[in-house]
Amino acid sequence: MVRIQKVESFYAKLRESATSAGSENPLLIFPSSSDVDSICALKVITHILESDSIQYSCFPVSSFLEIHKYAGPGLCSSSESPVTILLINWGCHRDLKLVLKLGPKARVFVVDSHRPIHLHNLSDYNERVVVLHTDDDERQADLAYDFHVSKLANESYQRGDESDDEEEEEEEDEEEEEEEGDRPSKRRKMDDGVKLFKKLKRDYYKMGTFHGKPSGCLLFELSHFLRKNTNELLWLACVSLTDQFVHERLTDERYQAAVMELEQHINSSGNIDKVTSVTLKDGTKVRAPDCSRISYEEEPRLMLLREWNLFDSMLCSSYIATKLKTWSDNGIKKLKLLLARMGFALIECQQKFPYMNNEVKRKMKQEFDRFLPEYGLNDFYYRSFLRLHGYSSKVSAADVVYGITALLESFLGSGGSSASQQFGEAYDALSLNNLDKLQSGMQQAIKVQRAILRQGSKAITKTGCIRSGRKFRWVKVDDTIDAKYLGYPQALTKFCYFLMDALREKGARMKPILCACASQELGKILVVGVCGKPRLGAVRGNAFGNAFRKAAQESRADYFHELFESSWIVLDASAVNSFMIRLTEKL
Amino acid sequence: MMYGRKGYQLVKDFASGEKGLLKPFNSKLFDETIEECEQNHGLIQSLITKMQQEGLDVQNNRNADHYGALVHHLSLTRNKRCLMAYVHNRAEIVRDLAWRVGLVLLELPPDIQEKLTALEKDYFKNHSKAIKSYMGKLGIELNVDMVPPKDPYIKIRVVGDIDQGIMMSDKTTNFTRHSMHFLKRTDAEPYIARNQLTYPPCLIGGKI
Amino acid sequence: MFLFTARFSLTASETETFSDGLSVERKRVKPILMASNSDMGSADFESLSSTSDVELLKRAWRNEKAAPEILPYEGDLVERAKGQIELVEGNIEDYVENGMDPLVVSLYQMDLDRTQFLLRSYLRVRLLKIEKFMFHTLKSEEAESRLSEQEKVFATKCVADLAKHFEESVLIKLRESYRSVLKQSLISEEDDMVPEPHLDTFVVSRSNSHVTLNLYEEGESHQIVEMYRGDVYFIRYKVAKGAIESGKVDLI
Repeated sequence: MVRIQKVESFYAKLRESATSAGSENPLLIFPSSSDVDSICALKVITHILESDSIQYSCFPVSSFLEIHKYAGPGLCSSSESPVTILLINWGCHRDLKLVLKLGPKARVFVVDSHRPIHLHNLSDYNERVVVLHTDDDERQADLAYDFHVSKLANESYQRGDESDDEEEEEEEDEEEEEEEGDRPSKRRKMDDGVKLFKKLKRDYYKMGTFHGKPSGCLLFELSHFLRKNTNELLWLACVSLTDQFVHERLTDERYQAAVMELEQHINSSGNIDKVTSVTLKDGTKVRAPDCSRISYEEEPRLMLLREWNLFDSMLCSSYIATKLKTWSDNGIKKLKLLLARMGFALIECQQKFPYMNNEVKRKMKQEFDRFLPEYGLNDFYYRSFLRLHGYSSKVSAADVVYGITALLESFLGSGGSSASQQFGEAYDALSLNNLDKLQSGMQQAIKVQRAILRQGSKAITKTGCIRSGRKFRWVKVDDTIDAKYLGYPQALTKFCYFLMDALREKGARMKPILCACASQELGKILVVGVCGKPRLGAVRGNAFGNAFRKAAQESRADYFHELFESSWIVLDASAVNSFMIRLTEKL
Repeated sequence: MMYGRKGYQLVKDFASGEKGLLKPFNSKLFDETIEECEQNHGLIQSLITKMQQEGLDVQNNRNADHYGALVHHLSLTRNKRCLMAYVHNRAEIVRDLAWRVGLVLLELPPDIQEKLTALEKDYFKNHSKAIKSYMGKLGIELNVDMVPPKDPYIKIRVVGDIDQGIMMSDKTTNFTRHSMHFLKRTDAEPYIARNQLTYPPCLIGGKI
Repeated sequence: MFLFTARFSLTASETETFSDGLSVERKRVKPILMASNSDMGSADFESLSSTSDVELLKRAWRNEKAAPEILPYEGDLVERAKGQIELVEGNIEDYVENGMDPLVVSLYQMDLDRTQFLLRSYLRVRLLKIEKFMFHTLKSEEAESRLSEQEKVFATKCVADLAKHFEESVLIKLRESYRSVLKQSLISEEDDMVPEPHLDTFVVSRSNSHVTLNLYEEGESHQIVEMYRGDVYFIRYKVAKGAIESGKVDLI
């Protein structure tokens, strides 16, 4: 693989590969169906490809091995014609050449925010895989490397190392140390080199998994360089960034920096002085209905406020709920008291937000800024993006993320709607003229959040629900009704963070937390694990990847570890307890 | 007995359908209209016979019977016009099917085939032959390109089930359910045209 | 790409939109399908494009689409267009083999597609008119004279097929005096069941040169309208019929 420094040269290579003579296949695109960033990135790149008349076929996938269903024989065999493949938001952290069994005629291009990138994918000698990895990306990485990654990558690839397993290497090191005493000093020097290499490799992977710049933003930059950017694409970049923000995938600094960049784009593309009203011949002023523009404002951390009412949104949004403990009677009283102190009538707050008294809406920010710090809510407002369209449509990027994620995560088992079908729904909902689809997604998101609150309250208040071990805590969602909402990776992850926040408020020591919940497949349980929020200065990324796999292997039950986050795994229902026990040993 | 009533009902039945779409052939009403014509004819004959028996010149003697016969005649011709209109309008749709969907009867969607009478199927075949013959002589295919070409490429999504491994002009691709494609308009057209007549729809076309 | 917008410019780029949404752009590049005289030299773009076969085909297509009755067949134009389409198809194949930039090839392809569409649509519109008024077309000498030889064969077969269909579906079931396809009954003096095109339909027409039209039939009140070059009028087809045939007026 060649480590590309610039987005444009990545695209140039992709284009060249896709249009090479003799290619019988259109460009095959495989976007992840696990997050909104993937859909945004897909829309941006297809806009660019279409403008260059490059034919493509796109198949949404939800796990590593699904690609074989659609990619055809050219992927693995050597006798077929060349095939060019683009992966969106997956693939970085596993050795693609190995895992996908790439044949000599396949070329895989990867745009993925997952980090760290597997060293073999990064090597200049790997001609099958090309990963988009920019200077900015390296500079902004939260957990900085202080060695030359490219050298390490090439070294690793050439050695043909197939495992980046920390423990096996430690064992090897020990063996070498034992032998060392018998060898001459020359060998010792070589051993030193090998030792250093192994140490660096360990350090590279030790930091766990985390995320780099959102793919949607990266590809928007590409569209900007190529002068093919539009307001629509800019909005998609805003949504991509907000997706990472909502799902706790980046630090505040990175978020602020990215917001400033996007604000510059928003300013320079005429969103500020867009014509919003037209004056007719007789002097009547009319709002221009087709006008659509992006603005940035301070938004409160209240999810789906515009689809909900103020009271419920405050009750259920993780930020406030965990601070005020709104699952308890006491908490609800506190909330009501707070609203009263701010001078908002309770009945007013329970009106659907768009119909709420304008006076109240105007005073909101002022009052919140005044009273919330008392409750420890210091950063209630954050800089965010809004899209204004037509006469009355005003939607925030965060709400879009909630809605679309809920749409993605409403696929059912066999017989019901599949993940690919939901991907199509989510894809449609992202365009301007499908507001009702988006709204149905938002309503679904509200249901999910209520489930989080219900189960969260149960877990916190009922003793013994959250099992606490030395290395981590874990909890299982037993309720079959709420399992329908929580049995999906992102929803379950949100639940984990909710519990983490609630426990922190209780004064408990911070530990990684795992949640288990019945998935759509009968008899299977989904387990996700989180280590901490980058926003709050977590030093390590998510460390569960390898540990999950090993613990699952040892528990001797069926497991599925092919989802796009290594901290997500699906197990047999019966194996969960033994999995947790073995996991403790691995961490 | 009613004057032209069945014919009226027959035409109304046709008009109540969706424009351009075939309903099943209403044999019952059709036969009843024919029956009505027979009745009219019978009555005309008896009135004429009566006049002749009275020694009156049928053409010029404008008496009640004369007018009676005239009324029956007009009712009959009216029914005939209705019958012809019914067959004629359906034939128009049959011709349209040949142009838009395809010239081979058996390739028409089954739910359409079952709405055609045997005679209409013959008519379809004959008309297809006429079109094919013309196109052959000119050496130009006329039943493609029905929509003005705005873009050479089009974006589609597959919603239903289509055979896998479709061969395109220069590329092969896999039309799995829920996949999206950007391809040459001419490659996609046959699938889109077929889609307009099948339910549930297989392809969604156009810009997204 | 608007460079200059003078009236007789060489560089203007104009987009025409037809009633069914087809948008055709007159580009600054050389017309792909050339005029009959192939030496371009520094000829004025306007005059060249107004006589190029594409323009003629466009005009014939527009008129045919808008007119309620069938117009005279432009046989020579059709033959020339066919030939040029084949030529360009071959050229495009060569371009692709020689590795020309796909974007440029797609431009040629688009141009070709549009011309092919025009030709196909022109022929198709005519066939559909024949189908619609098949009995009338073969009865009327004027209409029949406007058909090509192949169209005559087509029309004849259409009539035979439909007549047979009528006979077998309806007429055989009626009494003898009511069995005519074209007449309501034996009593009818003329063929009273033959649909005819409505020549009174209003059409939008634009004049190419100065022309004077009688608004009413001969013998009726004598009212005329004078159309100057470029004037657009919304009038009855019947009135403009003669002028359309002589090329003085176009339908849009």
